Amino acid sequence: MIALVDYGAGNLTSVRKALAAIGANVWTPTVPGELARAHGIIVPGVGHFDATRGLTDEWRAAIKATVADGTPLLGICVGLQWLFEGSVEAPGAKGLGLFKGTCSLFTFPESARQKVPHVGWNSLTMPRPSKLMAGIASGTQVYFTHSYAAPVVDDTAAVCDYGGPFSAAVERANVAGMQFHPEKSGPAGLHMLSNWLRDAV
Amino acid sequence: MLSKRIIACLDVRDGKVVKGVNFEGLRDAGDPAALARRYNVEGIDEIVILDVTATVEARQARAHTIAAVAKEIFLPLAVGGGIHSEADAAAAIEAGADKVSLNTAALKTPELITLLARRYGSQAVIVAIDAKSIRLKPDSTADRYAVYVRSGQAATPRDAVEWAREATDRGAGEILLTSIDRDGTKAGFDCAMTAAVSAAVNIPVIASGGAGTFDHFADVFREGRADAALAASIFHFNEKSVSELKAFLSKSGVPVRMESLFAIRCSLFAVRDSRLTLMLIPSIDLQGGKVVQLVQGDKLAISSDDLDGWIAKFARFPKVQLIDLDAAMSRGNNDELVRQIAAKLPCRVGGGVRSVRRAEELIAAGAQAVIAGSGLFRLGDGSDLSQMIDHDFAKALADTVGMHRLIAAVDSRAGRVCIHGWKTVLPLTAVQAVQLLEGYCEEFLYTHVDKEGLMQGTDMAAIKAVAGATDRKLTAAGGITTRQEIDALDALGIDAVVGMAIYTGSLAID
Repeated sequence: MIALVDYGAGNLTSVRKALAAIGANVWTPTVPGELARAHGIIVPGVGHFDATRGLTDEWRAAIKATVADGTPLLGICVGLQWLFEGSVEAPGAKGLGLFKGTCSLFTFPESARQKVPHVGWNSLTMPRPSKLMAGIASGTQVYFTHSYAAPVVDDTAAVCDYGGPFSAAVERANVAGMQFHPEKSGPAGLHMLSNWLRDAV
Repeated sequence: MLSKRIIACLDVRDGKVVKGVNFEGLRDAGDPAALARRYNVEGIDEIVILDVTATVEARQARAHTIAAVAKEIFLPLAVGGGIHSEADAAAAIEAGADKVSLNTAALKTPELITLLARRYGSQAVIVAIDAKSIRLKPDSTADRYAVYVRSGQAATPRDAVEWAREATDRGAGEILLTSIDRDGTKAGFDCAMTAAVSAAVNIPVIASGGAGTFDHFADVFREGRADAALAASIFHFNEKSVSELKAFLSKSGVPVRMESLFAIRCSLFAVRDSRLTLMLIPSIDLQGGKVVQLVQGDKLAISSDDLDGWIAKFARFPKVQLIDLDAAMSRGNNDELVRQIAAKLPCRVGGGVRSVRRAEELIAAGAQAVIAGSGLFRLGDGSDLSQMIDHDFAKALADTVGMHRLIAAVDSRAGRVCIHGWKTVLPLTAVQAVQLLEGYCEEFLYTHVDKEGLMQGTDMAAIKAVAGATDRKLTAAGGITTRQEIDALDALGIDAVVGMAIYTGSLAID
């Protein structure tokens, strides 16, 4: 069973539908204590980093404890950002801090101004092999929609470039994150979700 | 690089696509889900449902349409038309929409933009602007872009550039800009208006209205500075396919996401078991004299230096399937490559087998069997099913290469045989087709198109029905996802065709 954590940050219908399509059993826990029986945890998220305040200390502690037991954790979009230390978008809201660094707003030199948010299909490059990106070729395009991005770190599993490189995916042991929306990225996205799911069941 | 998006618009009323649809030959004429499925296969980047249902039950009907389309695609889905309140938006999003598009409601109640952006995030809120270009003075270059409402019937005092700015400030995540002058004319997008709005806001602008040729798309991306382009009838009518448009744009230097029919043909397997190789037939595409891997839309050629090593990888399969994409599209052939591979691997070869001569050439190149598809069928109204088969061609093929070396490919979508890259649907079921064709071949390749690329499993009942209708050997393709399905097929003596999954590593054969 996969726990899809609903902390009030937007709409989970698409994620739920994609997980069902690849054969995952999903439930939305109502109290942190339920996480103990999860085979995998997904922290989704769209919109503002401030919404992650919905992940109260009790939820954080439960997620951390479950992950420490080896249960796979996947953060999607703002969920990935939350795995870092925090975001300039909401300085008061702390991330889980499993990856070093702070998420920042896309900025461009005046001469090479691009639009923010970064919306649409952009390509990935893989700096190293990872479980999450197994079978995905460099250059594969996935669907992004976000204004803030996480820095490239040692644990970055996929890099995207929008006025500079940022972490499109991260992975360290049983903790992973995707900045793009795998549930809206066609067959490539479903493939990545299946890659993650394989560890979770 | 960020790709320019191609968006298909489905204008829906009472659950049916109402605008610009060619009903001919389409059994599911006007079915939004069927159309979405086709666009998905062709590589569309996003779908917009514009629901103009005007009944009291509109919200419920709309939710039904959204859910049906959302079930078919794993792409961004936007819904517009009739989103007048937070409750309308919530219902659409709950049904599976990723974004809602506000038009009249945003003008009437601009606060709704902010409200929805707070609740769902800006990325979920599109503000749709319908506008007309108005020349201020006869010889002036300064245009004004008047905002209209009620399908272009009523002018408002608003200017499109100024309104787009305000909408952005209020929290909109994208602007959908429709030129009323151009809509339906096929005369090209209004590039000047699009450029003016795109320059004024820092959020993506989707251009709409006037798409008629591939050049129009290139123009609106370059001159119009559009981030995405939306069209309806140009795609519905099957005049132009999304994949052809993208190939054109890519060649013209416009960055687009390349997704292909053939990439989607392969189910993604997550199984690691060497015993599987006995039941699986890998399908391999040939193009431009090379083996090509279409890996999730990215085309990679295996260099000829690696060919031997690559062939060795497939040596454990009892048979492999080669599809010549160039021959399929009547752009030459890859017979030299077929010769090299067929010398080492037992191959069945298909793609563009439309003449007896072509079949002979493939056998001469070393193919153990040839796969014929569209050429075996004829268009017709279905009143005489036998007339739907090109018996002369089928017989000539069988006589020339032998029944034992002829595989008839029968692709089925929504219960009907489809040909020409799944674009033409015939009034004939797969069961009827195999019964009519079994006098000419010893094997059928049945592809269940409805399940392709969805990873929701295949339709075992449909495959069983076809298997039960003929004594011939059956090979199946289309959405076969689980080990249980492969085992169940194997128990029936049916082999499964898989594509790129094998050599991308998602199905490890080592």
